[in-house]
Amino acid sequence: MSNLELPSSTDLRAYFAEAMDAFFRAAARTPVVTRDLAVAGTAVRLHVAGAAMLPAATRALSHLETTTPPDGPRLDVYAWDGASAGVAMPRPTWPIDAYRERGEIQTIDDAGFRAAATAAGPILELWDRETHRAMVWVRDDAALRWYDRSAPCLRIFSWWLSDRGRQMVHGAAVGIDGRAVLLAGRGGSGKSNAAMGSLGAGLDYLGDDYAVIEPGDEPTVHGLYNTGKVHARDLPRLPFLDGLVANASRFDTDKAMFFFDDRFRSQVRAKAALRAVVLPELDLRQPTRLRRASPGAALRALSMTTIGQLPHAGGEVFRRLATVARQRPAFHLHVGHDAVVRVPLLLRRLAAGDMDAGVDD
Amino acid sequence: MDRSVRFRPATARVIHEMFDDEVVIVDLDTGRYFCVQEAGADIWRLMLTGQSVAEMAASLAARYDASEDALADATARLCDELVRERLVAATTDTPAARDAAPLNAADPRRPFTPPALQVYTDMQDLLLLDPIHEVDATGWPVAKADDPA
Repeated sequence: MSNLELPSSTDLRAYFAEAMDAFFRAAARTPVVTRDLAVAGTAVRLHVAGAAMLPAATRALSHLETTTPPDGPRLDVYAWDGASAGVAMPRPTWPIDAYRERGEIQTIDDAGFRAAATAAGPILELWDRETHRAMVWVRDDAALRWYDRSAPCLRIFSWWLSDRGRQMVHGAAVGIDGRAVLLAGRGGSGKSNAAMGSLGAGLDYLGDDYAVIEPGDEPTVHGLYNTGKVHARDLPRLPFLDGLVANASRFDTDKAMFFFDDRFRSQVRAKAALRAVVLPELDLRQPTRLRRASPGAALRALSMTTIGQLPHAGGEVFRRLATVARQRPAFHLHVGHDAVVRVPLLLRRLAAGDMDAGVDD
Repeated sequence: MDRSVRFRPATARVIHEMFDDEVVIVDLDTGRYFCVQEAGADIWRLMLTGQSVAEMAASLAARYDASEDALADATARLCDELVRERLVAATTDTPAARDAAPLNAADPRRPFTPPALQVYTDMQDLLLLDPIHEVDATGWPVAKADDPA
């Protein structure tokens, strides 16, 4: 392949085979830890080579560990970092022009192989639809952003789950008694703060940045990551997070990040029935209030940043999320000056099925 | 605009979802989102059935309290905008129902508000981030100091 040609799926499969050889060389030099997970109702086995990579690959997912994996096909994910294993990854066989929007590595065909990279790290994620195998490689774990530590295997999970009819969404989810609301909107709309505030008020927590929707007559929302992130400037309003900040030395470049695998573990949920879609927007001059939103507004909020972030996401994602927007009521949540008390209260009521309380029509 | 002109979606990468009074349209190539409501949603629906501007105005006159001429003007303006945004293209194809139903004649009449095409760029903004434009000597992407987290 010349340096100007885009790779084919066959080229990437050949690269994956070389990368697997590199993984097994790394595994010969460093302990491999295996974790079985139930990810949105599917079986996933993580194989992590290298002690350095272990926390980044597993901690945010620890609440999904299981000794009785779900029935059905299993995804095997091989995770390793080159620095701690002392093994080099094969050099990329694709040209710089192959890197597209959202980090996609573009192929000339669509034969069931997906690849994406991020510059920070760098991180490379590969997924082979045929063999149900995937790899996440980081050149140096120490170079990972906390943003990436909060959502390991994000792209791999989105490809794998999409193939199983489930849709990863950019959104937060909180709830009560096995029912939940999904908060959707652009970055800065207040999703994370609403989710954190709800956690502090005792609600169930399914994530602040990503969740998975399983469509059906009764759509389900799955939690993926037991993590949360807020701007450091918001911490004084969230005192229950004292002592939980995982990255205090990195506030200059990252948001404050938290793992809820210990404190608040009992509130972290893997699954809930989806009751409503909530579209937060900051309006701190006013009291917090709810207003009904159209299905079209819900679809826009759910799909714009989801498709904008996830490699290879497109029309199928749009149509799946449209189905959900038709099935469940949507509300604008104007996050006001009384948000600390009022937001968890309103979200609890919506999750519980009270679709009229506190709604200004 | 010639009122006999008909339109079709510009490309297969322009997709839409219709709700009762609202249509959400996406150009997957640019990442731009669009929304039309009420009469605008009806115009989109009628356009997909292959109606010309004049035929759309006649259909709308059965539902909206406005003259057919005013409805034709508003329809032409919206179609112009849709063409400018490359969501639809004029066609000389024989009209044939594509994937939408005409208006329901049993629906009650309603006041007419000229439709507006709303544009949303959240997805486009994300696509334009283009995080990878340099690689190092080993071929791996290089992070810029200001890469978004």
